[in-house]
Amino acid sequence: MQKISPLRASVAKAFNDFKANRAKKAQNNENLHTNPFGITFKGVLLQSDVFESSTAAQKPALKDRITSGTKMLASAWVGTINKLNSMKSAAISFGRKIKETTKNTIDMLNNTNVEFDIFKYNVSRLQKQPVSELEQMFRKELGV
Amino acid sequence: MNNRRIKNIIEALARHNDEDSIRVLDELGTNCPIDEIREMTSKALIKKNTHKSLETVIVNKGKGINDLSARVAMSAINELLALKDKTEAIKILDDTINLHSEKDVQDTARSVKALMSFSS
Repeated sequence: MQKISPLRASVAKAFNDFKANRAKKAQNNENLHTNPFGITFKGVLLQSDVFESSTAAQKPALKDRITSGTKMLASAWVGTINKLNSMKSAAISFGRKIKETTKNTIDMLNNTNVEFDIFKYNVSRLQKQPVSELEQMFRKELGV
Repeated sequence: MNNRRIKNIIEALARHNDEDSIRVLDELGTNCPIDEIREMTSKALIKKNTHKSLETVIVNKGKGINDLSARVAMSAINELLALKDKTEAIKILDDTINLHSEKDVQDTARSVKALMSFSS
């Protein structure tokens, strides 16, 4: 029995150590439950509470967001108004230019005596005119 | 003076149905000092192929076939020869040969009549 007892005692001790280790591991696993990646910092296991959302910190407040949104909208509106104004002024200047050109053309036509010889002195057209008119034209051409 | 305009006016007068056109051609065209216009006028009068228009270029001294310019006279003769209906022209030529007081005019008429008889 004496010989068996130390063996038994050592087995029991080994069993107890194993048990203690397992209990310790189980406790560690329980702590790691909210930290699935098991990230450690200088050997210390980081808990999930350590993480803070960086986006949450940078996200502006609702009021600020509304203010900036309003500013953007106002800026876009001002840009649109400017664009419309420039288009309007361009259209007006184009209209003025067209009007001016048309007016000049009409003035030029009114002040110019355009004579199309091809039509006026066309034989078919001439022979439909009275002889007295042809005589006058003939005299004019001859300088009589 | 624009030759093209004058040419067109003379052409229009030649085609005109009004008898007064012959007077205008005779008065202004055949009396014009420019040979070219007299030539065009003579041709226009012959084209009309009426008694009055042919008489103007056959009977009158210094006009039509009796023109002092050989070019104008020859053009008039050529135009007479080119006529399709020469009846009226031959009748006037006969009258001129028999009744005209001027011998030169009679001789010219005789020559033209001879040419016309050969050509027809």
